[in-house]
Amino acid sequence: MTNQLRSCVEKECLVGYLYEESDAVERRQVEEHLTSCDRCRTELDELRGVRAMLVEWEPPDATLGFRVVRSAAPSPRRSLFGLPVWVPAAAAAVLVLAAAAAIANIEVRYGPEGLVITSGWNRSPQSEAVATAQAPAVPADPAWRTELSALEQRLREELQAQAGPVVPRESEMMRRIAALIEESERRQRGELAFRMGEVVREVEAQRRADLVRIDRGFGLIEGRTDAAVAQQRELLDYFVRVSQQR
Amino acid sequence: MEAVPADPGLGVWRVRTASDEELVALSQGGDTESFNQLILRWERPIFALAYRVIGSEEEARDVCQETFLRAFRALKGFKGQAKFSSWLYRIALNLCRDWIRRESRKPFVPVPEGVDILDLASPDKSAESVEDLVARKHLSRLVGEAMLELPEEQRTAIILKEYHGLTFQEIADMLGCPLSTVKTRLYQGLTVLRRGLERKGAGPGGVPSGRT
Repeated sequence: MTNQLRSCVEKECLVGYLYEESDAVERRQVEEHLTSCDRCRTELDELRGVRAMLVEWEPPDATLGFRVVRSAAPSPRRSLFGLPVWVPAAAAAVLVLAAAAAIANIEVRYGPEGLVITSGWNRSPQSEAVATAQAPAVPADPAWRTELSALEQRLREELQAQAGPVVPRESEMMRRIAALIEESERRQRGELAFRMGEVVREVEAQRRADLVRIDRGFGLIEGRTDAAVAQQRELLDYFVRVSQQR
Repeated sequence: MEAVPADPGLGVWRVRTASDEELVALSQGGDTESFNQLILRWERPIFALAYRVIGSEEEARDVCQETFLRAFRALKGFKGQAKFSSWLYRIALNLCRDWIRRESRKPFVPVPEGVDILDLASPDKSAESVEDLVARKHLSRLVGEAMLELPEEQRTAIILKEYHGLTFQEIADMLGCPLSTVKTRLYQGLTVLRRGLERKGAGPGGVPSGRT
């Protein structure tokens, strides 16, 4: 092995020596080799240097505190991102509701500013402006205007006929969302009560265990003290007897 | 944990802590609290192992949690053929490997640049100058980066040896490879690490010679 080390081939011995896990014979051989081999000595110093730097690599001070808890009741189903399963459904419902509200109360108007289409329950000049599409300027023509008015009227009637059922649908949707929210709150209240009960039970069990342990400790101390007192008393009696005899 | 008399004559008491084996036996009998004591005892070493192998705090926390969950589920089958800690390490390392394989990407070091202001305000570091603290943090980051550039098997061998104090034989048993392989991995890992640290500007004395 010494020959191998001398030729700087055997690195396992160097590692064993570095970590102080070589047996006595191997250690002596490595030490002997190191006195005559600058290369291995330098390498050993470098490896020690790396080990010294490794000490600096610390893991973050993470909050852990995992616990295994036996649960009697199943926890409410959770979807991705930790949200209760009803939340995406409710969100989708709200989206559907918004879309339904948006298509309701549509108004088509034609004027000097062009063709104007407005929608939504709270119309504002800004929203109308957004929906404005500029039409080319045309000369005023009463016959043409009358036809257009008739068309507007017909369109309005058709749209109203389509948008009609939206209002009851909206109230139905709101009712269902309110019911979902109510259901979720009820479930969360139940879970909170269950968890609180669990915590109280655990604290109480721990308190009892601690009391028993303390009680046992005191009992042991008391027993020891009593024994020591009895021993002292016997010793004193003995001294008294001996002193009286003399 | 209970108090037992060490020397009844002198009235000396010492606190006796239950061994891993005792806690495992109690846990196998259905005592959840005993298993929680084992978690308390081993969660930080397991987290440190996972963090150093995969390089992400969040993932390491998940691996740590999953390790104890799997250990709890498989506890009945644990016959004490190995130390409980070795068993846990093996579960954690398997999970780390799964994670690396699944992600099939190089782990990264999420060590923030500069110095945490809370560290500067920490009372136990008061003896250390700000310059030293900055240099130490910088070196810690460089070491972390260089370690995570190593092949996984070399990195794991170094971590188990340097940070968990396992013997060559224990590492060989845990990784299921010959003793000579463990030594070779350690030697190669340390050598590559030294070159990597030099490239990053960390001098031989452990002080970064590059940017500070």
